[in-house]
Amino acid sequence: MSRTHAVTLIQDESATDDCLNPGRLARLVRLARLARRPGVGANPGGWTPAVSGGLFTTRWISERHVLVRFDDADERSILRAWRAVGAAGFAELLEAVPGHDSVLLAFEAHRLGPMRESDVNNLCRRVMQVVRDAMDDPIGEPSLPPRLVHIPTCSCVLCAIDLPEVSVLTGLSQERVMTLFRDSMYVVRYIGFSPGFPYLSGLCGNLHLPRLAQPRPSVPPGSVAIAADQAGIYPTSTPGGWRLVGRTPVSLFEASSASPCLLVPGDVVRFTPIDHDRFEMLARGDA
Amino acid sequence: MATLHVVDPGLFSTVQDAGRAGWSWAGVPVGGAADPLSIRIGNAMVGNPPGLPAIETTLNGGAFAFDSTRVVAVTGAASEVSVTRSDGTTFVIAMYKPVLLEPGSTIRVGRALRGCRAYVCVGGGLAVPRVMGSSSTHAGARFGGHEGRPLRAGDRIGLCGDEPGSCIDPSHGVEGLVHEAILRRMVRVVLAPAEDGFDLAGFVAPRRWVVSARSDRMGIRLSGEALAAPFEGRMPSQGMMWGAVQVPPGGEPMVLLCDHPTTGGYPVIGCVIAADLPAIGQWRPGEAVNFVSISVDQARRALRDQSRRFFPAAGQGHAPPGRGAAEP
Repeated sequence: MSRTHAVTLIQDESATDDCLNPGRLARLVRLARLARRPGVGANPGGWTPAVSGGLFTTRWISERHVLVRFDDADERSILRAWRAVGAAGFAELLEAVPGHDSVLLAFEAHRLGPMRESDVNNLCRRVMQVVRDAMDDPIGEPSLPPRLVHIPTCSCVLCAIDLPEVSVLTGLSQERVMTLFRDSMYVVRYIGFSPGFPYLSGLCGNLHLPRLAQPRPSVPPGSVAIAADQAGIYPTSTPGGWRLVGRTPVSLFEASSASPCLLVPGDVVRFTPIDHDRFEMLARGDA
Repeated sequence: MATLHVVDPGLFSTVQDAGRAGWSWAGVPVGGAADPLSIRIGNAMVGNPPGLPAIETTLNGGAFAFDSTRVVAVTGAASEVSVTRSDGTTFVIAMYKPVLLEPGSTIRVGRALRGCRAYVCVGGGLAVPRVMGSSSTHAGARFGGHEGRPLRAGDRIGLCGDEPGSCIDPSHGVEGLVHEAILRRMVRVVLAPAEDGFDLAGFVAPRRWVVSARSDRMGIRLSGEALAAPFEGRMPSQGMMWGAVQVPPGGEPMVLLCDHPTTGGYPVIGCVIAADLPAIGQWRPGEAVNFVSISVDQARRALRDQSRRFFPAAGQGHAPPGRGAAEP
């Protein structure tokens, strides 16, 4: 699998319904990768800025970690807070990790050690202020419209291993399941589990099913999967308990690439259909 | 180019350094040496700047041969270390003491007598490409280090530079001080706010948890009398941290190590303090361990004291070499 496919494939998809032509979108996606910052491209749906300031708490959960937890799991607030904290330039900050209803901040422990207790407490207050400002300032949002990333997906019998069972459990035909799956626009809420694995919100309510009772010891790389109200993509072959409804030839994680992770929290994802011949061809790299 | 030849990789040996901070948002944990104190001390002894890659062995050591003159120091788990020269003579050397090896020498790290992971630090460092800002091996995702995998017999790893490195003898008694820091079976934790309803007192009571054999660089599973969980199932996923104590539904805690998944949905009841991360990296299966609760202020002071003890000149702890990619 090759990263170049992501760009090529977007150009190939004539079904794009956004205002940008596919070639320009592909170029923007590539530029965004290079710049490694969220927010180049276009979202046909258009995110309206969040109105509510959102209620949240900010506190030290260890001597070196601050957890910003939101009372409701509104993804726009969480992602906006994540971006704002990352952009705020805290010298001591090592990591900022968005979660379902939180943003975890890891600070360099050895830089906190020599600080006075009041300064450390002040650091937490500064984080709170940055998050509050981000919540109160929807003006900043339009400068960072989410990117739209197309993930070409094959859902043949070989790739969508769990599609028959999903069909039975939901009482929908296989075609209907795939139509509902593809019609949704997904948002990358956070990345975890394994390098590059995106947790996507936006799965159609008719497709909400529990995880498999017995996880598979090994899931094929590129598998597109659903569980509960989320969708995800397995970048590499790992154990996994989600139901497989397709497979993409696009490489989601390449450690040696200048921008190793294809998706960034906040990206909008659509799954576009390809047949198995096309999947094989793209997976081989002769697109 | 001068090389290190892997004669015997032991159970699980990998190239590690100070890790790749800044990529947790992308699902990539910081990784690096599971005992960040020992690798830093070893690098200092051979004249390397902090953060150069070294070999991390697991439980039963390994053997590594050199085709050039090099300064080597072994730190970490208490092990018997010997050198076999090209003429076949073998002699035992002390850990925590740099030694100048002649070309054709093989250094063998024996079974760990106490602790779990030993570090073979080489003057000049290992010539391993940096991936995402670090040479550390992420064995699960198969990248970094030497070809993204644990070392095998026959592997050859280039060595940086033509100089053998410098023998920087540590101050007297450093081995005892390091062991005091890294071979602790009672480690200090900062407990989560009690509102989640877990039996936090039970967790830190002078009870014994036993390190399970199903432990690795991702995390340590503890077995013992299960903690009463106030609720079943999972929490909303949140970012996870090195040292986090998670409680899965079975009630037996898991302590996350450096290769931990970056998000998780099990309740977190506390976090091992930074000064004791080296110690949990040295826990071995079958060992009885326990926890003691301290305040965040005490935790910060503990790291500050540890840094001053081992790196008085630097005035800093075992920090990663760079800030990594500051995403977002």
